[in-house]
Amino acid sequence: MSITSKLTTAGRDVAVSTVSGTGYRPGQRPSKLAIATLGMLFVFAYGAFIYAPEDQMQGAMQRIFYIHVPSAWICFLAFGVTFASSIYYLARRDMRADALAAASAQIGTLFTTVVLVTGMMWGHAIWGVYWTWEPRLTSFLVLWLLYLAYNAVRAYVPDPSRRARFSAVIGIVAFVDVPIIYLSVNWWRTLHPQQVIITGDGPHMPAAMVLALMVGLATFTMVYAYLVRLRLQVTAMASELEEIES
Amino acid sequence: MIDNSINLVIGYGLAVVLYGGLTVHLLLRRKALAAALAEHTDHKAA
Repeated sequence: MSITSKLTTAGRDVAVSTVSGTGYRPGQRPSKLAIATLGMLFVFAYGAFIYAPEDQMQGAMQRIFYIHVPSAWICFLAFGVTFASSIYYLARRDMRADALAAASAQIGTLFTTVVLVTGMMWGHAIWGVYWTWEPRLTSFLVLWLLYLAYNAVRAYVPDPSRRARFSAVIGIVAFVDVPIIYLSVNWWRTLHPQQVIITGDGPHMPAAMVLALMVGLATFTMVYAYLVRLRLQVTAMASELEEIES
Repeated sequence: MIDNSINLVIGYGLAVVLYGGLTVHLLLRRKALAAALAEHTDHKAA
């Protein structure tokens, strides 16, 4: 899986990141993706705090929308990638698919935590309570718990092929909750608002808010891509080191 | 109008800490692994 090579730097041979496909070399400059993501984070901050108009009813608190919704979108994307990679792993037994599924699930869990906490902060300001057992919130909490279980299995099953097999099954089953979350506001009467962007008659909000949201979606998609790539590099380098040491 | 900016700060603050924290953790881990791999290569060369 990995190829060890050398790079001569200042007259001395140093190890090059050994894992095929990681593209990491010690001391290299930040990648284009890292620079672009950092730039987009500034654009996002401008869009969310300055460009987007203040909501007349909710005031500044409504600005949490620009991180809450994109983070939720990334959860669905991340667990979708885990779902697809898990199916691919079970079909082909390709450990690269397992590594991608694991990286995506770990980062997706982080995004889910942000969605839950920003949702609680928003809920407290608007509803007067941090938490209520209504369908959207409950199904999102279930998603968080499912992916905590996924990460726990990965942490506690020592054999790599058993770990990959068990976690792939969880990664596939857990994804069933994603469409339930998305459709929960249509299926049941919920306290959580209905979709305001993807509706039959267009977005139900001012264009400047929609634009700030779209910038947020693009920015957090880049953050996700950057983190997944970084996680894959670390995983590949760690297994190579383990291989050398054993 | 609702004035609850502390909740806004907590929400964004947590996101910065989690996303930033994971990024820094992974960058440091990658650096440490690269150094360990370089050390092994040096030992092999010697």
